[in-house]
Amino acid sequence: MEFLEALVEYDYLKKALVTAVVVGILCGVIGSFTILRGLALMGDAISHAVLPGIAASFLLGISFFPGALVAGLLTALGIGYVNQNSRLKNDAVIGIVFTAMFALGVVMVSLSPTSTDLTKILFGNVLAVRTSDMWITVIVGALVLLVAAALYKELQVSSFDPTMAAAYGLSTKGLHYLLMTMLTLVTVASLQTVGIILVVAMLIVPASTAYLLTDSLPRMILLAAALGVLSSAGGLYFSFSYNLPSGAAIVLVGAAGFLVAFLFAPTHGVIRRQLSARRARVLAMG
Amino acid sequence: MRQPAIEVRNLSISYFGTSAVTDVSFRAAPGTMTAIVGPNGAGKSTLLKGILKLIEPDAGEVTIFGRPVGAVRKQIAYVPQRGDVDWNFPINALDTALLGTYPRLGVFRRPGKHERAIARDCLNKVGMSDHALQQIGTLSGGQQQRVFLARALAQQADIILLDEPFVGVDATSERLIVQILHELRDAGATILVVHHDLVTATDYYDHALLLNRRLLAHGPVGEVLTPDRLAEAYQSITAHAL
Repeated sequence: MEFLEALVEYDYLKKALVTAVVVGILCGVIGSFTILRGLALMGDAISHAVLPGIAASFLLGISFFPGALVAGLLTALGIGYVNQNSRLKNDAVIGIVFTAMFALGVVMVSLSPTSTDLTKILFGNVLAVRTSDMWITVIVGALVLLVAAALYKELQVSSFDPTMAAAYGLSTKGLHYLLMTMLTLVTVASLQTVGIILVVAMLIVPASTAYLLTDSLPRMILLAAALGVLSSAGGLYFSFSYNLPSGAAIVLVGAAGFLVAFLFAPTHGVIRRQLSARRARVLAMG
Repeated sequence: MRQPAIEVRNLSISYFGTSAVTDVSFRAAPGTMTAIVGPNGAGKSTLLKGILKLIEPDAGEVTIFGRPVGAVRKQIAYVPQRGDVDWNFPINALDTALLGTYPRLGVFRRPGKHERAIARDCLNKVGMSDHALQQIGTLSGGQQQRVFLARALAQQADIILLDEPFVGVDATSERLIVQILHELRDAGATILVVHHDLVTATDYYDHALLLNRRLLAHGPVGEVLTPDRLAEAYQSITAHAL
């Protein structure tokens, strides 16, 4: 009850909750498409790679928004370019490009004359969300969700059967870079809540949990958003009540949810699968 | 000859400097069903993708009803190879068939009642109505291929390209698929199928295209799939391997 009383009393906690809930929804929705397209590692890369953009914005004294966006998109384009022009496998290329970008960011932050707090960017602190941060998250979130809703059909078909999508004239490349843009925006929106190191967990974990629980894409997306909200709100509660780092608390709540689904999911859970396998063996033996 | 449905002129495609298809030219008339036959690595799938302009060719031109492919994409239905599909994707049979209505809808517009009715009707034609709500990966190979045929039907396309549609398919499904393809052909559709089984090819198709990187023969199926020609096509690959 302490948490609820504090929620009524303290403004900063209300802001934290609104921001965390929006991030939960946003990550669940975009994360669903990310994992279905096999781009989990790409999500990790993009989120890390915004760091030099943020550092540059600090150096120039401007909002970190355009900087992060440019850095995220440059990384996506860079990965695409190296991929097409070398014999390296995709995961190696992603690893090379994003770690280079991340390292560049660390160097730039260390050069920054103002005392930029690297830890805050890397891990976020939802309890320190300012009103302006909250509005950035809400507006970016609404924008990304609007685009995802408008292009739902295109995202669906190009994730399931990219060859068919390209055959009938959809720009699958365009959709890929659109999703990369959305990933960058989601990272920026999640900066305060979970930070850039852990945002990938919010993208992947609720969506993966949902993937184990349903065989319908619309239901998976709704479920992922709901699980994202539960993780965010739950993590915020633990963070506030036990004075834990907010990002880590949020991610751990999400991971606990995944573990439950992994074990107990009705058709795709480990236990159910083993039971089915055993029954099949018994039947086979007659 | 009437205007060909598909016309391929001097098409050459390569991957990373290795040529996959060299200087292929042929025409397919409306209302014909052609088997694309050749040994593994002959460039059969590449040719289909080249016709769809999914791969940028090194040289050559493809026209559909006299127009560039880009202008008539919505009239071409494509059924991919089994291996190209993510069978764990959260989608059921009905929604897979519904994808066939997307090209005509265009970007942003959602499928409505009309589109759902088309999808249901097409699923019914391939005998899959009872499995409409089943996730695509839980179906048998033959059922999955029937659902993909339903998707092609829903597209109401004039041109249908299928990449090895009979791999991993039971005999009943295969008969049904062939029967539906014949009906489509007789109604005027132009159908190209990458086909593996030389025994059934002469029964299923009216035309054949024998490919081994280069076009070895093209014409009525009885004239193309002769023992001599087949020996030539399949031997050169053995010679290659040695």
